[in-house]
Amino acid sequence: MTSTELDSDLPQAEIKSHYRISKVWLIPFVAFSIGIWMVVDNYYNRGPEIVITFDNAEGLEAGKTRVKTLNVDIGFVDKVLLNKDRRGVLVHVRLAQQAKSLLHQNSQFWVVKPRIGKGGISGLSTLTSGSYIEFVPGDSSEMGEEFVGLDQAPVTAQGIPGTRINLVSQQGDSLSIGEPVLYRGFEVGRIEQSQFNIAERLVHYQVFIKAPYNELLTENTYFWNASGINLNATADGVKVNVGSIETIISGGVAFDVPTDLPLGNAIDQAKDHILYPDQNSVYERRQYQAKEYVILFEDSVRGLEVGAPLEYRGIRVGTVAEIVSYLTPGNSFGSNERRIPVVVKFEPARIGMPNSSDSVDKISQYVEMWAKQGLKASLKSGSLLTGNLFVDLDYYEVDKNSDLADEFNQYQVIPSISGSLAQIEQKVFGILEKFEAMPINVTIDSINQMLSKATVTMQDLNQVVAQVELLLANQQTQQIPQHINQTLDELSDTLKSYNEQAPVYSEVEKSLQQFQQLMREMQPLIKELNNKPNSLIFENRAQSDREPKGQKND
Amino acid sequence: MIKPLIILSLGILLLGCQTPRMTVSYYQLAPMLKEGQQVALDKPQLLVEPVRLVDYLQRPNLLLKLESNELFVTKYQVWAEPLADGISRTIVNTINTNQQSIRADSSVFTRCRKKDQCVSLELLVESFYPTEQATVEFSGKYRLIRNRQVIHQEDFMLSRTLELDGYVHSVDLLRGLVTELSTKISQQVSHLE
Repeated sequence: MTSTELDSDLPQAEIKSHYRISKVWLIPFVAFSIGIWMVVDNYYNRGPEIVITFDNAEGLEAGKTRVKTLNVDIGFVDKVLLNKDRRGVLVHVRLAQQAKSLLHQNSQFWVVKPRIGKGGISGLSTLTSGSYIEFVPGDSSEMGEEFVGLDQAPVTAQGIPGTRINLVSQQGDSLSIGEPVLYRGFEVGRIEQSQFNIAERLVHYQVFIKAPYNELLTENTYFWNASGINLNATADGVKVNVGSIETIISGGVAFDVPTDLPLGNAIDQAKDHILYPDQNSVYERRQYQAKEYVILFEDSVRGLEVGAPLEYRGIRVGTVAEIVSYLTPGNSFGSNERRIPVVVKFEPARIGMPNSSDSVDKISQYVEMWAKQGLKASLKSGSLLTGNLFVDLDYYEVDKNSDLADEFNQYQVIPSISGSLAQIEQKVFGILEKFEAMPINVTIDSINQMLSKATVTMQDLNQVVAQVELLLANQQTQQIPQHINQTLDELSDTLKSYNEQAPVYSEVEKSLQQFQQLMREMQPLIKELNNKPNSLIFENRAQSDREPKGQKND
Repeated sequence: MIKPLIILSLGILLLGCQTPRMTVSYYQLAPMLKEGQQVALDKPQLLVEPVRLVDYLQRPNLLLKLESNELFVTKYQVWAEPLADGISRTIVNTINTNQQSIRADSSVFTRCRKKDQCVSLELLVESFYPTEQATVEFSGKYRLIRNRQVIHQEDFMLSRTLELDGYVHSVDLLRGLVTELSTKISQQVSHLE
């Protein structure tokens, strides 16, 4: 047996190709699939990325700083990059998917970090947790992806109902964002923005009055600075206005409708409102339709200020608008005109007339008529303490000046008369002149003569007094009061015996009663004698009285 | 003989001058209190002012009305006291006897104790007599005053029918009329309180 035969006898192996993949590979496959799914899922479910611009990145850290709204974590800072112009930072924020619908264009972002200011201390919790970005969704219809972050938390959050008003102030007023807006001491809003307009040289404030207090705003509402303590010395005297403690410390704005105005209609938000420096200014510097006149004063105008009242017998009818200090053709040094022109505004709205141009036209006619009837202006002292003056209108005797004079720099001129102080001064001078003219020496001689005569009279009087003293010292004279007292006592005793309880009185009364009774009994007899004088001797047969008859006997 | 005749004649003449004597009757109007009673000082007070009489009643004699405008003045029928006093006392005694809620006093005897609880009675009597038509009449007017203000005023006319002859029965009925008026007044004062 050969090896070949031997080989042929042996069973032949069936060789098959084995292409099956090992089941072990399932594990990496599944893992790979899950990975792919996670990536896809993450890609499709990830939230939007937004870019917020801040001035700096203080407190912001990529991957750590969270974004919150209503204290709910909705995202994180992904990247913090410098701006192209390197004047700010671009903060890339990845938000959760659910926040996508909140990204309105007017949404607000700001960094919450520890702050200490006039409004108090805030953000203390971030000392331990770290700064975060606060997000307040807006209410705009348009959505956005790029936002400008706020320096600090907004005074009024988006969506809070209320009214925003623009205030304009000529003074700086030192009002800050966040300071309160007060209505009669009650906080109803806050200052949201303050901006100095260089072109206008005015300060613009935006204040927010929250609902429902915005209903207090009407077209006759006036705003004033209620900060600190306001000390005001005017022609009316010294006035001190003190606000609430908060406004004294931090300041604030107050508003109200002046007591001399009706409430008015709803406020016009588009119109800028004047921020007056204090409450008194609302009454004194309020904008009125006015007719301007000039008054030429002979007296010194020292103490008269712009804004001083123009009064008619104590009722304010206008305001001093200007004290003309420059020379005009009418009062140049070369002319005979020495009077000082003062421009006054006659404001008809202050005396109950509508604040309109029609009222100004009417008051112009009235002033012309009043001037012809003797209306004149004079300077009077409003306060002896401050020495401030005001212009007073009143009627005086009609003379050749009682009319509106020719125009002075396009203003009509109201006639004037020297003020009370000047009049007093003139009277004092007049009295002094009379004193000077008096024959003092002759008068003193006469007084000396009179005094010498009076001395003689007094000596005589002293003698008389001495004699009277002697008379009074006499014992008999001193006993006179005693005798008078004794006599009065006796008289009193006598009168006592005749009073109602006295026996004499009762005896008299008893006697009178008996007399009356006797007279009553005598009356029939007297009448009988009157009818028949001889009836005492020859009386008729006794005739009994007629008697009333009873019904039973009828 | 002549002397006794003269004396006898004079005696007869003197007998001719003899006057038949008539007795004067005195009538008391006010009823007397049957028993004493303590005055309750806290009750509302009716102060009876002196009663005023029209002129023809201001006489001691009783009157008899003959016709509508004719009066007969009796000679021998006399009031025992002034008629005004009698009417006043009748009112006071009647009210204090019959009425428990108020106290009546004569202003002659006492004054108002409390001004708020004191009502004064002013009474004017215009008729107070029997008539030939077998009636007795009592008429007049009165007013009630408190704190110097008149709070009630009324004219009254009361009458009753005479059952018997004579003045005794008439005076009894007149007293009854005063009692009737007193009761009416006291009820009005009680209602005022």
